[in-house]
Amino acid sequence: MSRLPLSPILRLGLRALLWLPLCLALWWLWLKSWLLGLLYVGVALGVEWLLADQAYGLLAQDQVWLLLSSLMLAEDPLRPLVLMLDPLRFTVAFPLFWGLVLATPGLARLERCVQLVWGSALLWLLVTALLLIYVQFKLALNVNQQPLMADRPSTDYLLTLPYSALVYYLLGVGRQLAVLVAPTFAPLLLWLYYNHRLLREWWLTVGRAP
Amino acid sequence: MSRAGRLARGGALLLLASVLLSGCDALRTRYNQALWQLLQGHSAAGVAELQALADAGYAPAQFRLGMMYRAGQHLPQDASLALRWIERAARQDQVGAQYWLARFYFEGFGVVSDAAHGVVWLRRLAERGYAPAQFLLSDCYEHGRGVMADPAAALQWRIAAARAGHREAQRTLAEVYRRGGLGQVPDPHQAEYWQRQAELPALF
Repeated sequence: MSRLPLSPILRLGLRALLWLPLCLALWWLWLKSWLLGLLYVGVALGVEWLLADQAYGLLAQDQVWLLLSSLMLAEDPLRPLVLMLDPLRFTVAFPLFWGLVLATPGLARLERCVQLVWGSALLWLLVTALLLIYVQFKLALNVNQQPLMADRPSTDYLLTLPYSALVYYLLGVGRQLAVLVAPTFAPLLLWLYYNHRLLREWWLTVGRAP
Repeated sequence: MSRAGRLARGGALLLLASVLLSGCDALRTRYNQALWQLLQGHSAAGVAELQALADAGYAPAQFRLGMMYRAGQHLPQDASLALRWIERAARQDQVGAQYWLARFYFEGFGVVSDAAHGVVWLRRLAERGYAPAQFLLSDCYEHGRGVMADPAAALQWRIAAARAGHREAQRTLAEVYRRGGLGQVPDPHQAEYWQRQAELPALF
């Protein structure tokens, strides 16, 4: 069998071996704080508008965010719930996407740049939404005071009624998607969306191979 | 426009629509701004805004103002004003206000101690599924505080609180089943079950 029909896929694999670690290293060493800053803008706005009945602000302290909730603890004197959030894991979607785009053979320079810019913008929207789902889940976890998925609530009770069992469970499913599934699969799906024609051509080439 | 461009524009419009739809609660926005001012140490401005909102009948502001009068935070301590604002908020079904009003009646804060009145407010909350109120109500039934002692009712509310995830209720329920009490004979299986629930680790 000729090696020629498989070469685009092999080239993709080999280039990915170079670009993915490089992008991950760039992300870890220099870009993660910058990405967190960009995400903070969207999430802070989302918290202010979409979760205004439960939170009134988000503070960034290095790589940790503090969610200032307007939900009060059942303590004397009254004090609000402050949640510590770790948003770093969500930013890994970006280097994965960049690595895949940079590793794709046969793309014109302009096309590659367009994919990088537009793809990053779409990922920013998506990851902001994922973070908001994560914030909502963390709030629900502390409202309902029942361990769910891999998270446990704090021991303090809040002065608010619990969510129904179904809503609580759905928020748990949302948390699994937002934390475990989407940050890894979203860049891959986005890359497939941008390059599906190229992949189809490769597939057909392989199919025609003698 | 490319498909990606159309997708991005659609996403942005969707986000904008949801922002506009959910951001219409002007009182909530003012309330959050007042809390933010208090947090930043601008007590006078924050208190004035809370007072205006409370006067306008906004229950979260009434509750917050009442609790500030109780603790003497940002305001001089004043039991009667605390009771007045908390009671107004409680009448609007504000969860925190109902819980604290019950506690005011038990403690006799700003009012003559009246456990029976406290139980009325606790029961309202317990029936709405608030676990800490269910646990306190169970305690009232167990010890005959503000209500006739009734082991069956105490057990019923203790189980409700335990099922809602109240750790103390789960621990004490395990104790009830271990030693027998509230009209129950000892039941090691139930005791073990509730003890395990109280110490439940993360699922996966």
